[in-house]
Amino acid sequence: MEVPVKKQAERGDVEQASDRPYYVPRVDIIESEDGLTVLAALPGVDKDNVSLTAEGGVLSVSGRVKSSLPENADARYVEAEEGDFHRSFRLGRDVDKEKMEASMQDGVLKLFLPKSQWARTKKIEVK
Amino acid sequence: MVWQLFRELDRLRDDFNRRLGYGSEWGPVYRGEAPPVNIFETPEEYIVTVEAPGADRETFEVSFTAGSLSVRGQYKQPEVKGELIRSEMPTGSFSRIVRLPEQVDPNGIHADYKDGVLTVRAAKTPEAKPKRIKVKVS
Repeated sequence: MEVPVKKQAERGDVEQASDRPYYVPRVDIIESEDGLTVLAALPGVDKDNVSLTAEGGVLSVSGRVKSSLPENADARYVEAEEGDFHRSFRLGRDVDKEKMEASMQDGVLKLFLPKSQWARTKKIEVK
Repeated sequence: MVWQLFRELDRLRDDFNRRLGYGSEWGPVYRGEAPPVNIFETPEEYIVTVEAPGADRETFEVSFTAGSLSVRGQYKQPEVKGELIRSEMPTGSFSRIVRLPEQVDPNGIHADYKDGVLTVRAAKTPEAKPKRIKVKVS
């Protein structure tokens, strides 16, 4: 079951990681005729902990991975630390960021940016 | 301890990746077959987390044999059609085996999968007999 994600973060919702270590989530980017799909691997993250902003031609995905473990759990061996994540993408004019759709399932964020009308290939019939 | 050696190797590898432009400041590197694992301990149990975002629940195989916890599964097939411009997400099958330091009660092992993380909790007991069991993932 897919869950909708809020599109615009209110400033101050999520701390922007600028001077702290953060990780860059893995993505797949797929281009189809009607738009661009971005899949981001965000294990341990639910939709309330992701913020998406699209301004100045840049799409940013950021947030924080929080531990859901009991207080008395001691770390014995850690390969994946909790912390902030952040990744930005340049957006061209050919995608319509106003119509971006976002959803999250099993730690995978899925963004769909439809191509604006002028970017779609229009087949012209030769009479 | 061996665990500290792995962390040093991870740091070296992340350093290489960064210089090659892979872009991971410090976070998990998906080796495809080996998803990142964390091990925690409370007085009552061990908690093992395996990061596998986008895995197919039907394919999970979690089992415990003679002190070793085995986690296997497969990622869901990509469902989005189009031209793959960038491909970094883990795909295919994954597998990790984790040796738990102390005896655990094979009947006290539970696993669940939430937000792309498989969490296995194993209750500790000194009297546990080694035994192979299948663990259902909820």
